[in-house]
Amino acid sequence: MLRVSAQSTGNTSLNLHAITNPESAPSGIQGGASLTAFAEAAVTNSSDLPEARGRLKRELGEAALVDAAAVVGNFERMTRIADGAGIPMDERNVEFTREVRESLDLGRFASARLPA
Amino acid sequence: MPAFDYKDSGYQIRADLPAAYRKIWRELGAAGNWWTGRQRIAVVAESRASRQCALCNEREAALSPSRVCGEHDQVTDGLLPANALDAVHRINTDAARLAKAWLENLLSSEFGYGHYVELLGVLVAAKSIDAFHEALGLPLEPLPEALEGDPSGYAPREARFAGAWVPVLTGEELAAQDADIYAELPLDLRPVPNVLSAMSLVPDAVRMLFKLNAAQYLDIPGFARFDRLPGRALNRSQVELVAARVSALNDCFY
Repeated sequence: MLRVSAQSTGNTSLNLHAITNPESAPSGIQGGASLTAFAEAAVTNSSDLPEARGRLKRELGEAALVDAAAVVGNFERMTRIADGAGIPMDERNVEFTREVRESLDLGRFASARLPA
Repeated sequence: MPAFDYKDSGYQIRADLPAAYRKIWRELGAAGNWWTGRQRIAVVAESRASRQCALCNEREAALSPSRVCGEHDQVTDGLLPANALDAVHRINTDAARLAKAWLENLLSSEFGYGHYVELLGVLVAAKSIDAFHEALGLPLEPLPEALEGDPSGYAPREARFAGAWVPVLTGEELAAQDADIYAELPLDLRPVPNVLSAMSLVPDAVRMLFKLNAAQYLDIPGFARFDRLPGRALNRSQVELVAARVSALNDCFY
């Protein structure tokens, strides 16, 4: 969905490697470094979280911080649904995501399941 | 003070979030299809406590979680059977390394797919709300009040195995009482994405999922919007970047 949203808004500088390794290169998304740092600090319950919160608020504003916290919550849920129910990738996404999966080496995850 | 009162939180929090959270909190305290209200609250309490569980911490650090045996530290005095307790702790602390064989070993005549899916639905709903609070540095909401009542035992007859470890409602055939669960999904989301049908063996778990999705991520019309999102400060690309980073940090392939 990140790739589709970037393409549909004419963003040609998206770097998907920021998903798995944000230090490697800028994401190409406005405020991307603050958003990924906040997400990481929140998920890992790191001591950096107050600083990450402050940085995101300064850069994108308080409402953006609240939105980002809500998205963190949402995907703490969705990932556990996917892995708890053992769902495979949707058939229609297999080809569409092949290049990204290979580029980011997502097959290394224990949860990697393709349709039978 | 009402639940999810953010007046003194230090943040301006849009109203749809506490409204959704209040609804979910009430539902969590009521009996479901397979668990009583007290047991459902025990699922939330155990999920919260699992991060301090010595066995979970040891398993999380191990190359293979199945090599580490022992008993979970529990905080709910046996309200949940041992297999349910293990499911709650594992889903919360190490979901990416769950395996089909693990789930099949948990199942028993007293703990079937319905029990497991409802437990999953309760756990993830509370988790997403707790994670929102923690991300903003807010205290966790006190556990909901348990309501009296017995589990209904309802299991949709149309549920079948379709690739997931648990039976699901694919949407091709639904009983009248479940016809609403995918009714608003547009044609381009058919067949129903696996993550939306994953918990459909307990249709109320899907209903909770859509309520939380609408407040925390996107409502169904929002799925088709790829630029600005009405009422949100983040645009779609920013939302998806956070979503993708959280998924990667959880080692989630889906």
